[in-house]
Amino acid sequence: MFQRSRQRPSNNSNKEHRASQVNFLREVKIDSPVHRMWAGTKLLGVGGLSFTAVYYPSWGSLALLTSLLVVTTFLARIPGGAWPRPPRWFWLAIVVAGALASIAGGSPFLHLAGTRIGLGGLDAYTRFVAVGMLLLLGAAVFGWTTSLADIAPSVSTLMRPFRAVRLPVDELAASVSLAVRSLPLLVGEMRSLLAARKLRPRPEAPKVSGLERRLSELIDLLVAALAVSVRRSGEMAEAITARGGVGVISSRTRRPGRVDFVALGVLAVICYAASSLPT
Amino acid sequence: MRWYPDVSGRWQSVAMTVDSERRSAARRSAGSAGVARAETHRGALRPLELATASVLAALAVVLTVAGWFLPHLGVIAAMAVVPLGVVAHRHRIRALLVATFTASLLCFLVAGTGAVTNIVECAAVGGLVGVAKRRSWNPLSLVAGTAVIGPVLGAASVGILDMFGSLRKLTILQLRNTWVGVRRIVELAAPPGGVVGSLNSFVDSALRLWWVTVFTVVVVGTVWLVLVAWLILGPVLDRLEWIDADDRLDDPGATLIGACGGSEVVPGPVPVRLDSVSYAYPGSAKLALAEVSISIGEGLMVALVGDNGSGKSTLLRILAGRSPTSGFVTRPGPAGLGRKGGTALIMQHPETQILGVRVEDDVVWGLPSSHGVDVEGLLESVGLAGMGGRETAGLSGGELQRLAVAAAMARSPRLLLSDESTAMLDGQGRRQLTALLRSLGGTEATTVVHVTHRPAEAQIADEVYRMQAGCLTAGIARVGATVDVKESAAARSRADVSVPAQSPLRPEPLKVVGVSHTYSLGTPWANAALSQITLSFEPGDGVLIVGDNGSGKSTLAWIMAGLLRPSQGTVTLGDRCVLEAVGSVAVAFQHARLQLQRSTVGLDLRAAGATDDASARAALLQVGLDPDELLDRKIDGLSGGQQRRVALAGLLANRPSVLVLDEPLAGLDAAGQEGIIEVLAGLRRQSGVTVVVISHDLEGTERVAERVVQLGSGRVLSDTSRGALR
Repeated sequence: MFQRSRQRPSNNSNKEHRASQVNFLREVKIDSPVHRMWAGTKLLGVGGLSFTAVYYPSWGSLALLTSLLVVTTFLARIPGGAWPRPPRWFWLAIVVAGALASIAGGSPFLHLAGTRIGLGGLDAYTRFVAVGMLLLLGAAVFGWTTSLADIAPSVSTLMRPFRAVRLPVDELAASVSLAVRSLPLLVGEMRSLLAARKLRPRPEAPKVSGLERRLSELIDLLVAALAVSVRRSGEMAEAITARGGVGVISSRTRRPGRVDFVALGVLAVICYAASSLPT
Repeated sequence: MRWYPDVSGRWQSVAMTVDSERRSAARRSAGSAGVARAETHRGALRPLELATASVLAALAVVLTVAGWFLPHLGVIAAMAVVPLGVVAHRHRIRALLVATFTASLLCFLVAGTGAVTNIVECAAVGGLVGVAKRRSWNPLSLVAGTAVIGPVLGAASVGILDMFGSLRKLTILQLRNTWVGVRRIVELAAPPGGVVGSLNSFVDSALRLWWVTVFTVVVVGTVWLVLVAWLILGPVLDRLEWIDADDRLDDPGATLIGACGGSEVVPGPVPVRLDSVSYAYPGSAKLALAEVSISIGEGLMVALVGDNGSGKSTLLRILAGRSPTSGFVTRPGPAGLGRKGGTALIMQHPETQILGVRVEDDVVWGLPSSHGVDVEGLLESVGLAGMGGRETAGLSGGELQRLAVAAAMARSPRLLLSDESTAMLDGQGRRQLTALLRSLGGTEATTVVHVTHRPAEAQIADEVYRMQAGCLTAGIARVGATVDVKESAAARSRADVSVPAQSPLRPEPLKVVGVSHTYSLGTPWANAALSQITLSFEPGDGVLIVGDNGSGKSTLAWIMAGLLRPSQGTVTLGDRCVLEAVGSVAVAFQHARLQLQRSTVGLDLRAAGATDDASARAALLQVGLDPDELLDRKIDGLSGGQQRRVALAGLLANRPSVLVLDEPLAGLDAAGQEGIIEVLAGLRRQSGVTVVVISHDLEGTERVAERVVQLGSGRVLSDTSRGALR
């Protein structure tokens, strides 16, 4: 889906090199129990997991939730290559921030060769970073195991109870499905837009101040992106009208099966256990 | 739209001239189409609102995620305020709420809760500024609006943080620890007290009174975002005014079946008779259709031929159920657009009319229920058997159009309208689609009306009508030599290209040596696009690189221009690596609008490399455009073909050694295609620039490229001259 590659500048272009890149919402197309699960179950899973991690960020809770995600990743047979490879500055920032926070010390204390080292700073820092990583990992597992096409139908099923309060569920589900349909087209357009900009010569002597020039350049790029999107909306609208308006958005209604109820049960138990562990 | 049974028991759509005129006058006075639309109705979203909300929500997601994962582009995340503001400016708040929901959900799935807060904040601010712009509020009202949403957002943030007590305490502890760490390091160099001491007590109270801090930060952030939105959204909205994105099928008076659950009235689109039907688009004084009378029977294939702007699409819209400005439409029942047994429509652009994410989903998209639809059978009948599970994003133009036919047939239409559905396809795709339409039309069940500008396609129809300037010029006639669209095309393209051409700065050979490229190398998504490509292009060459979807031809274009570093191999221009000379190899993308990044033609050419007014003029002349007419025109006021030519002029102004064109003919009508070919042929004759055309079609480029390189599965299959190929 979203795909971006950052490549090391290398003078020796003949050597094959591995690109570090980020892939978002991209299914690893293999068959596994997690892949076969209903998308709604996984959606609830990511939601429940994130909520628990944010509400009870204790060591025990984080460990429990992380192991749940790791087990899921194994069950889904996700190859190591799927993991995002953050750039070096990311790890550098993590280490520097960690070092700063560790200096603060505080309880608990570690007695080592006569010196008392306060681990409080490091403790808080590690949990803080772990919560953030856990949320991202949850999103990643969802993306690896779920086809984009299944998101909107499952949202529609999950939100069915809200019909009672007259929430326009069909409208929301249709909107999600159209947005998901537009994403790959938009990502391609953004790439072309930036490439077209790269092809142009850099302005030699800016007559106006740097900020003003940047602002007008930004506006130009946004207008180009929006002009294309707004035109596309018009054409898409005609296509919707030609189909008689909003109706079903998928051909097969996938419903939760036995595996899904088991998975939801496991999730509920783990989230409950995580919430009752001491902080 | 209203239906009156007439004496004979048939259904008739009567448009009272007075009523329609009043309606269009009201729209005119309201200013832009968006403004008028936003105020006119309540209830469920109209298709245009839904489409705009969804597409712009997706754009907001892209911007937010880009800013989220690339912190040095962090400011990009705040730009999500622009698409969401455009939704609020053009449509009702309900559309903005739907867009916010969609964007939040997708952001949550990509980047977690943090990205969601960005979307919510941008939606609130974008909504405020969008509405302020739409209603032309004075700045004071905007300040008042900010005074409301700032505290609301601040209070909401405090409330949420209050709820998640543990995380809040952890965050505060973490911030305090970081500060202590910084302080201790500073104190190593400077004595305690002084500035550090007062800063320390400030940080201390800021963290202790966290709710005050959070509230203040959110309010200040909101004010800042409103300012940014006002500075950026304002000019963006002004320039988007030029874009008229109107749903010309949606009849504001009619209710959609999806919304009311279908009615008992059985659609009866054919046989249909039009009596002196005229139509003028809202806000336009010009008649798109003038006094057209036509009668279309059942079970026929009818072709409608005419140039761009001759009114053939408008006539289709009337057949699809739009009320005429004046005149009478008589049919057995309502047109029933998109309904079972009603009217179905296939449009020109393959990408935008496909709404499903999977092939099988698209077939049923919009139906009241998918029960009883033989999806596999329908796909088989259009030649897409077994492709139901594929994602639509990977299909070729021809496959997409045939999928659109399957979706139309899922509604078992009595009337199937095809609006230039073959225009954007290559020769093979065109032949397949026309044959498919022919096989459907002429059966008892379906009448097919096929609009085209290609006489050859009209030949297979039972009846042929020709349109010119809003009038039906020839009645029923078998097509003969009389319908010659090429003629006018040639006349139009005979623009003066014999101008002093700007030659390349230095004519250099381009050499592609052993290039392989794999996307996402080392991940499960690794996708080998090119393998071991070696090609060389001498100055002045004219080369066609031809291949199917997925043959790697676009990747090759990006690599040749130095926009993409190949996994393996090198590309050199003269004696330089092309990666260090980005810009010397120009690429004309398929989507010309993305290449035009200034507001007017003149400004854009200057930004593209034209050093002065004279060279901008010369560049325009080179692509067969009149500088006097175009130099001051707004980019978004140009037609698709003009945009493509201006983009080409911009590339030429930069005086490239090599010019690569990705599908330069796709999406243009015969006249436009002829014009581009003329320009390219002229360029090669006069300037000595190397021209490389990338296309999935051999046809049409004979005069530009005598050498043909065939690409398949990322490899060079053949590299010959035209003569040898035949």
